Amino acid sequence: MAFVKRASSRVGLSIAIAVALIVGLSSAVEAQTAEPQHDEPLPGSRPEVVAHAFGSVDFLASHPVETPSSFALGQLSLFVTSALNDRFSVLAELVVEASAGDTRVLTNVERLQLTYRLNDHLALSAGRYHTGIGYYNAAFHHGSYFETVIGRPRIFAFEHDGGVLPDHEVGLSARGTVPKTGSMLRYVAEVGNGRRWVETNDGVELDQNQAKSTNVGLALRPDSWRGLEVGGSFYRDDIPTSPDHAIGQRIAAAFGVYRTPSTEVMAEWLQLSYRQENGARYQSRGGYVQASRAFGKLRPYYRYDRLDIPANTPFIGSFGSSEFNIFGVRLDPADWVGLKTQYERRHENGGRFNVAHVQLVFVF
Amino acid sequence: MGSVRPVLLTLLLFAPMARSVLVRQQAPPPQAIAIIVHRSNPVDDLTFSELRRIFMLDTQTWPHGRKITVVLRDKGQPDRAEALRIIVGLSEREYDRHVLLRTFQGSVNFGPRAIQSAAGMLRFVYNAPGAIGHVHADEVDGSVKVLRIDGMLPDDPKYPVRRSITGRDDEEQ
Repeated sequence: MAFVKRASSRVGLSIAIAVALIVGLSSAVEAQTAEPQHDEPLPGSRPEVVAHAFGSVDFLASHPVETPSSFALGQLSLFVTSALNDRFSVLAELVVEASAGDTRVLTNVERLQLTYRLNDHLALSAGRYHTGIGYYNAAFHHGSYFETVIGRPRIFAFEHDGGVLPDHEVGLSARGTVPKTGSMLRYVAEVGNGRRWVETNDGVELDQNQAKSTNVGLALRPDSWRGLEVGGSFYRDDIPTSPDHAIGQRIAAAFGVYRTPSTEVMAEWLQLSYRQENGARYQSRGGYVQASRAFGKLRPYYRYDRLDIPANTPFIGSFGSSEFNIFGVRLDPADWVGLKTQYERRHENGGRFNVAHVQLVFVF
Repeated sequence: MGSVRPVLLTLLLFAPMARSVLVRQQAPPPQAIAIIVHRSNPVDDLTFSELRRIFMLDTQTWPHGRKITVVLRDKGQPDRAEALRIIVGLSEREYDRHVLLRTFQGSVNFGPRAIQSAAGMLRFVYNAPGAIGHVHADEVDGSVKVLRIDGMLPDDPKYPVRRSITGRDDEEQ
């Protein structure tokens, strides 16, 4: 059984996209400094475009040595968004990854959404999105600038990095605040194709079965305690293993997050269940606890990260369990530049590793 | 006459103190920041929490459905930093980071508009039906509507959107 691998696209396409984004960026700079006389585009006027790029450079060394210590280019996330009018907007996030050794690049359309915002209670999006499973996946995307710690929690690792979740999906999503809750209660509801676990010869854009994945979530942000958010989500899908058979997948997530500019405490716990047609059930669990506190430009942080996967679990059994303790400090020497340095004590695949990781992150 | 001299001396001695007390009593209250909207906007009153949610871009539409356009003074201007500190309790840098994060998350399409001057702010709000901005209370003219915040207008001594480091402003720090 082969797992789906990320599809790469052509270099020419990525260059064209990069040029388009740069053009968009220049128009966005003009737009932000102008003093327009209307808050909506005039008939026939071009929609404003906001574009940003998020990049990183990494250095990684481990003991015992698994691979030689190396510098590496992180993902270059090209982000562009535009309000077509008062109701419609578009968003795209393209990630370009280059190897350190040469200039080969891989390009992926990580997000592409057309959104219709009726009001604060309902925003409907169609396209490719980050699923609203738990908190982390929809709060942090491919640009690592906003993340305090280097790397996503193991449970939220992207699919092509050995992740166990359906982080990305193509489908429809609805988000908003629940009426009569003072904007404190938020919801998300999504329906999509689900993650492809089994490689087949059909088109990669198509779902492999009639069953659609669904995800619903609720989050409470009390007004009286700014920065606090607690919530949960439930995801379900039927993953086909053959034309006539499927395995039921359920993912329950709960989180509590307190984030202000100075303090950050985050905790999430997820349970992944797989049920075979014969009734056999397999459960995996994972989560993390993370805390940091800013002292001027310095922000020390800690993360405990754990993932327990029984070896006989369908699809993800071979991914292995892990337990990480991460200590680090982030320095923000200037606007839109950050330097993270961390020590990781990893326990995975039956071995223990000490890892030093440095990451320079930036936005432009 | 002999008893008058000590009284005069006492008055002279305490004159500077009395003057400072008088000056303090006459000093105007800390300058209020008026929250202004288009005159056609049916909203007259916001709670401070609602105001904060609007400037944090958590609330993006008015109750009547029109999109909200938040208007701030240009980056680097003291009035902008002051308004952000009082209304959302963030520094400019923190606020810019918040706006970029919300943009990256897909929650907003672009951040607040930036305006060079108070006159420009009034002109923008006058022209934009969904706009909400801020000017010092003494800069308001009849071209815009001033919102009540927690039921109070800027001339109310308990009006919460003020320059001073007191009350709610203090709580945000």
